[in-house]
Amino acid sequence: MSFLKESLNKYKLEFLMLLPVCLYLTGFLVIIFYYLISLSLTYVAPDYAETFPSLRNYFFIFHSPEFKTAFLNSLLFVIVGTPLELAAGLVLALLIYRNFRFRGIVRSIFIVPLAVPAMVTAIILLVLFEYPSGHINNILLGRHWFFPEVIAVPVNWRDSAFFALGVSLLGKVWRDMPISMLILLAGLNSITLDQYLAAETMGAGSRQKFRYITLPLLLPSISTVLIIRSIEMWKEFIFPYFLARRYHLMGTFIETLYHDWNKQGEAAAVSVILVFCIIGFSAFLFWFLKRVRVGLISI
Amino acid sequence: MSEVVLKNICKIFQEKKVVCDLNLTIKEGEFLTLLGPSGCGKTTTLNMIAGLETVTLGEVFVGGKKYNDIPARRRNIGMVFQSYALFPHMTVDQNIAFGLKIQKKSRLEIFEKLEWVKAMLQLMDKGRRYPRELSGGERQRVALGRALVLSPQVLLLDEPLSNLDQELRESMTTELKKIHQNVGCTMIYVTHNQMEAMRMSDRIAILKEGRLMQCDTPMNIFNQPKNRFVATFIGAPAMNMFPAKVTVQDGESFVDIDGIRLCLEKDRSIALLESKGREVTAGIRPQQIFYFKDREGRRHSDTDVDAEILLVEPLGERLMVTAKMGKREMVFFMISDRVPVPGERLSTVIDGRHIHLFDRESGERIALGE
Amino acid sequence: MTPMKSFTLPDRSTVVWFVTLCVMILVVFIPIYFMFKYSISDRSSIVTGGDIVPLWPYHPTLKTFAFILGYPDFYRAAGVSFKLAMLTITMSMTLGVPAAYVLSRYNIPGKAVLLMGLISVRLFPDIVSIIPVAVAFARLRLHDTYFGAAMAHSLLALPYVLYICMGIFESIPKDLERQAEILGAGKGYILWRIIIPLSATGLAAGAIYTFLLSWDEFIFSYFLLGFGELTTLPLYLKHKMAFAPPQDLLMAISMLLSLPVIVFTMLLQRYMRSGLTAGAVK
Repeated sequence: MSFLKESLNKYKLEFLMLLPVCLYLTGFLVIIFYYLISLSLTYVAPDYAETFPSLRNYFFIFHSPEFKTAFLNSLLFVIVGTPLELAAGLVLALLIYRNFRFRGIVRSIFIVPLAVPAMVTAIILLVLFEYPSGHINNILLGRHWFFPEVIAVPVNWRDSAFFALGVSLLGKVWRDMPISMLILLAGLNSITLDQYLAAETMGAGSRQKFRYITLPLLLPSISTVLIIRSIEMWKEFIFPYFLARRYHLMGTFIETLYHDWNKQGEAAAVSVILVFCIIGFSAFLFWFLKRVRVGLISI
Repeated sequence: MSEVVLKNICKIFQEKKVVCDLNLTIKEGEFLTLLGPSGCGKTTTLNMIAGLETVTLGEVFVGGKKYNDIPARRRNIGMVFQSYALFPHMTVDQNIAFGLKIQKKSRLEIFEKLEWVKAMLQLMDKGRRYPRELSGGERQRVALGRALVLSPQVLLLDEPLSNLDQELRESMTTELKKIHQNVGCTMIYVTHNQMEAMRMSDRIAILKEGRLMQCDTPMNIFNQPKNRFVATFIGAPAMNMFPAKVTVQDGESFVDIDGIRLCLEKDRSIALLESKGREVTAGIRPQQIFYFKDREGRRHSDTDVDAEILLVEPLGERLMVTAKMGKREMVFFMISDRVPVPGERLSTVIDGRHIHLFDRESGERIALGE
Repeated sequence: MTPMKSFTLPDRSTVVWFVTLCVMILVVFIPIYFMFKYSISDRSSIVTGGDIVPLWPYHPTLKTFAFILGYPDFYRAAGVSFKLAMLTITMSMTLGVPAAYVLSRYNIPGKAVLLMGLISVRLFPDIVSIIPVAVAFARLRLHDTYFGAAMAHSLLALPYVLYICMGIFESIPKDLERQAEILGAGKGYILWRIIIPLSATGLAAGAIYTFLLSWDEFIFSYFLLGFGELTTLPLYLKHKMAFAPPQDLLMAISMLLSLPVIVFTMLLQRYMRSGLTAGAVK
């Protein structure tokens, strides 16, 4: 205890420098936790009578079909979107990995989607995918010279969950692929040439080099991408909000509950559930990827 | 183990001749070092033997077979890299067994060979560790083991000791020589450190700017360097080297270095009578200049030279002295229980038999018969 | 004189690579191109009455920009965004820079906990964090104020500010400070006269990143300012959407919203490389 007091005195200035941030963050965390828990456990009856604590919010949520749809939509969104983002990032990273003259410029070009505000991207997609005569429809209908006719009638992209959420997925992947690219590039760059040469002297051909060196050494980066991007997919709000508000994901469902239906308690409840989903899914993914990594190299 | 023959090897990279016309034979079971300053082409030559670089001109023979067009992975040549290139995601066992696994050897065979190599390299209890958990010396042994376990025809080592600190380097140098004696395979070693080369090699091949300067046993290179470059490169501290002239007096020839007249032994003295006035470069190793009290007996070819001490550096068992002799500064050794002070004068003896003479222009050794 | 390299047909993998490269460059450019195209489109290029909308405007014009820039509502919103961003920078840098310095120099027992706390803030979706914050701020009467919104934006920015600044400070060798101490300088003097000037570029990068974060921010602003007096540029854009405006207007506003972001990001992308990869939680 006295040791603590001693060091506090000696490092007074440093302590003061660190304190505000700690207080700030703790403050917000406390606020978030407190209100989430208390709101979700407070049931507001139609006559505005409040009951605390009460699990009725959760009860309603678990029994509501909208929630189940939102949950399923979110799950699908994550399961489809994460590999897509990994693939897009991998393609970009492998393209850049080759040593060519305009490499720096192309890398800057590839970072551009990240620079555009998400909201703007969503609106651009709104315009592009307009029904009945947005550009995408026009192209698919074969109205331009450079593309054949693929469909006979224009598609209403906001008409079904599949299309609407699909377009928002497209926007999200487009916007965030530079992040996956950067992480994967860092991973690719960490594999030294020496290791490939050593493998060659020990008799390894291209396929063996890929399987025993490239893939396992790239796996940490791939894992990082999968985990981080999947968390982002769960959290996604802006794209579905602008492009697919009717077809709820958990995020937009929360917003609807809060703003349109004024059900703060239920909104908080869904928020809590969402947080648990994120933690649970990430833990599962983490465990799964670990098994894969170990399984890849065993004598 | 196999013999390696390099015939007229040339490597040209972007119009630059990195290795020129190299002819070298490494005998079966020999430990040969490629020694030279940075950029002399030693690593390139090693890579050409390994098959990691193509040969622009010339032929590489291993075990009598021409290997130019055979890719590295089929050459059965082991290589240890300067950076060790261990696979960070594999344990020591997995690293060493990598080559065996690729050859699809049976689990029993892999196990046996693994145990043999680990015992030889004292890695017995490190099998399940990862490279990042090992010390520098341990990592290097794993790299060695990884190459040795495949029973290669030739083992190539590219400056494996340069990443280690002094103490470790000492012990590993001896270790490597012991391993060579145990395993007996042909080893080709690359380094720029002449001490390592002298201690470990059966023969040393000295390269400069892609050309072979001399290839011989360490003692021969030390005692009979073929040219000025080899003479100054080998031996620490470096040989004392000065421009000199051959003079003749009273029917004997001498070597004049700026105010000092040095005697030569009889055979050379006679042979050089014809070269009166010839301009040469003379070299004397510090080990061959003696404080007069350290020298027993006297020879005809000895010269007494006065020295004025400039700098004294104690080395423990002896003193390294820089002194002014004639108009030049020379370095030599002294054994004395009293440390002399700068400014003191003392008498030294130079043995004429150990004066090396090189042609002033070409730098080539002037042999007796010239 | 180097001899002429003989022309060899590229092998299959190079062709595949090149084609993919062109495709991906196109993919990246297309949405941006359309935003640009619409912002300079004239009426006739948009309202075609049945004919297809052209891929390039018939008569490119800057009229839409002129129109917006003269519109008071737009100015107000841009001004609010700007002031808010500046306030956010001040708050987050004041909080973050000293803390980053301490964290980079000392090994504090609670360091891991603090960093975990930071990351956990980013683990919550924005929409999840904002509800409690909005409710709390409403009760504290911070709703619809610059200060409240700036606090929320700073919360978002702090992890990045801390990460970037920690990186910057770690790259300044400790020996410099020790040297100054030996020469008699006090801690405050060292900070002010030595550390800050040396890290100025990195700190500037952090500040610009925070500016962009606040400038683009939608969710938090929507909940904290959306129904009140203050409107930021993103909110202004959303508000306009409710009236189904023509695309040229939409896109012009979008362009103006995006321009600072794109420009700065391109300039800074060297600095941000490390910040993005590891702080890649959004």
